[in-house]
Amino acid sequence: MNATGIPLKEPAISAVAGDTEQLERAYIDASTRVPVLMFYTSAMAWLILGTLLAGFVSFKLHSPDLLSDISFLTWGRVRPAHMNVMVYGWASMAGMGTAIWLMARLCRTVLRYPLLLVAGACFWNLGVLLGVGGILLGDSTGYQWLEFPGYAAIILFVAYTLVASWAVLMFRYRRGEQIYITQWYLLGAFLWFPWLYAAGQIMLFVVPVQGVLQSAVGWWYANNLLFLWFGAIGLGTAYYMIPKVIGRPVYSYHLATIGFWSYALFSSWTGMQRLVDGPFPAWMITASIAATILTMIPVATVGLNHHMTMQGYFPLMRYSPTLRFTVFGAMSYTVFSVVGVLISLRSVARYVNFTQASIAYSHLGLYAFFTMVIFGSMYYIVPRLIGREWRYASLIKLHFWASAYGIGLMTLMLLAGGFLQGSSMEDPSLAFSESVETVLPYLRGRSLAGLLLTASHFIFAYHFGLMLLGLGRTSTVPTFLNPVEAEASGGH
Amino acid sequence: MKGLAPLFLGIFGTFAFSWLGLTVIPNWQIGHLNPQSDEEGTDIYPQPQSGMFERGAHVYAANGCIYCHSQQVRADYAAADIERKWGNRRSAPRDYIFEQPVFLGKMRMGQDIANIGARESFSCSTGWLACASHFSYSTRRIASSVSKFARTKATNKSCSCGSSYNCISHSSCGECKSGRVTNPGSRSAMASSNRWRAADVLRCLASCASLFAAQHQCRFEHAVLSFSL
Repeated sequence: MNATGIPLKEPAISAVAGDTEQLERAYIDASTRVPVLMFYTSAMAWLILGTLLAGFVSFKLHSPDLLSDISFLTWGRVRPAHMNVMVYGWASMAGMGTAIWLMARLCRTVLRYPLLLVAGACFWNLGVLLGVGGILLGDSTGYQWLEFPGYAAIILFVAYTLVASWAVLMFRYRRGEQIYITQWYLLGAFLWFPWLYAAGQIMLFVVPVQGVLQSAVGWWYANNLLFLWFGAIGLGTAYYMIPKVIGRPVYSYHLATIGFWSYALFSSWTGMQRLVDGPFPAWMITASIAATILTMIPVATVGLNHHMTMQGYFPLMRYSPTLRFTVFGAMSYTVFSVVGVLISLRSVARYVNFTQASIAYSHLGLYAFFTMVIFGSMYYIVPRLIGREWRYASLIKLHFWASAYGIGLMTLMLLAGGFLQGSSMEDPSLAFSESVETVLPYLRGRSLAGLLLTASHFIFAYHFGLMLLGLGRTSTVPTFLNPVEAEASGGH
Repeated sequence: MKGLAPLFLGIFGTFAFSWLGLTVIPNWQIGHLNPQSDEEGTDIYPQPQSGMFERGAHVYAANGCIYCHSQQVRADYAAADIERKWGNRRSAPRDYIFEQPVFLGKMRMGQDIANIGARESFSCSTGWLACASHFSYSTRRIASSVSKFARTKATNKSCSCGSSYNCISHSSCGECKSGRVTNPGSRSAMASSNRWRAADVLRCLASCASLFAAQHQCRFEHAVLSFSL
């Protein structure tokens, strides 16, 4: 790839932006207002629902009698409902909201055909609603991450086509020759997702593959959804937000290029390590383990790039909510990947396969990394759409710390519990039930973490609601987490 | 426009590589297995599943059994599955060729149940009781539904959950908690019978049947494992 393809200057302009440029940005932001806010608002609603379901699932695991009289509130149905609400309701919708805004900004063109996007959001909501309803009523397909029954899947796909066709049109109308690295990731995500989703649906439901291969396709889908859809949007967002907020170009575009292509190449080959020791040809699993180890290359390059960009600017995290959330997310990407490598090594996988540790892994990716980055981007984008600033710095701080401690505690609990559960399970002198007993205290700890996360989400939802109602501050200065000292000159 | 074509090609190329490598090629390799038979061509394994099995599979999928139970036995060098008597050989792709959907599972908050139907402790009534208790509508309702069908069959043996199933993680396996099997014919159980009953009986029957069928026993070890892993 030629290096001129990605001059990484764009985000730096803000510091010296001329009036026309500011005006142009304001126009672009205004044109994205309705669709992006619609995606965000829907996502917030799903986040709250998913959080409630999550708390319910978590408590039921150690307090099984909770509301167990009602068929659609049994554990085996609420658990997939929670997961699908979070994946397709919250994460996908919030991610698309951010991606749309970023795309418009980076293509430097006002958003055309907003109705297309509004219709897409409506259909997407309808699809998630039907899918989750279907799961709760006993219509789940039984494939993890693809539990939505067929009727919901088709609606989601239609919705997605509307959104993606818009994104491609947008790219078509872009101004300027420069394609910033964020656009690479976003374009990748928008093009990978439909292929992934269609391949998953077709190979599992339309022309189902035989026997165990369904599981292989299922995990290939789930892992690629995590990396190539959420991961790509998350990394793309971080590549925009970090330089933008600190007002400095990305450290190295060579690293960005290497990071992008190695990410696309290696992370798409992971997935089968989750089937380790299962009834599969060994090469499939080995290939995925190797690919997982190779994902250290994008991790190192992306991590180094962000780190060097931030070098000397870390104190700004004291002030900017966006930066604090985004950097937390970007760092979690490294943690997520390292944990991913560790638990995929055969000698370790033997213990953690079939335990809560895999839940910790998904939460690291989907929450500590992706969701935190998206929170950060929402703190940046929403004021620009509404024309008001966030009302309370204290609420943002509470949101951050409850989320950070919550996900940290959850990850630790599930990882530690998972390892112990696995080692009991691998000791045949212990009854199987011992392994479950072992993990129970950790599950209670996880519920505690869940309470923190619930609190954080309610706080954020309340704050977001205030913004929607136009109750934000009217000010030209963004809301900083702490009063800005004289020498500090951070953007928002 | 420069640099755009390689970008698109790269995006498609990397993903196509993964798609071909992890789904298409494996499909070509193990996607078309046939049942095997012994030298005389009799005793075919595995056998196509009955309609009851399909209904059971639907129950299994709908109620999220997969989030706690796996159905795969790992090799003895890798894990204690065989020592735990969850099977007497590792699972092989051929075991699953008639399963749609396939429930390999990813979590063991409950035991592996790939071969549950083949276990000594498993009979229709015990297995059914265990299944029924997993369906979590309140204990008495389960008891009543069980009693209706299994009044003559349910034994007063210790609850099958007690030893072979862990109940902690399940929604109210009341039987285990009280430490006894509810007397199937008791008046209280009968008195509480209500609208859940018919549905429960049907569900449990179906899922029990599927577990009975889901026994990957190795009559043809050499044949099943003839595909090298």
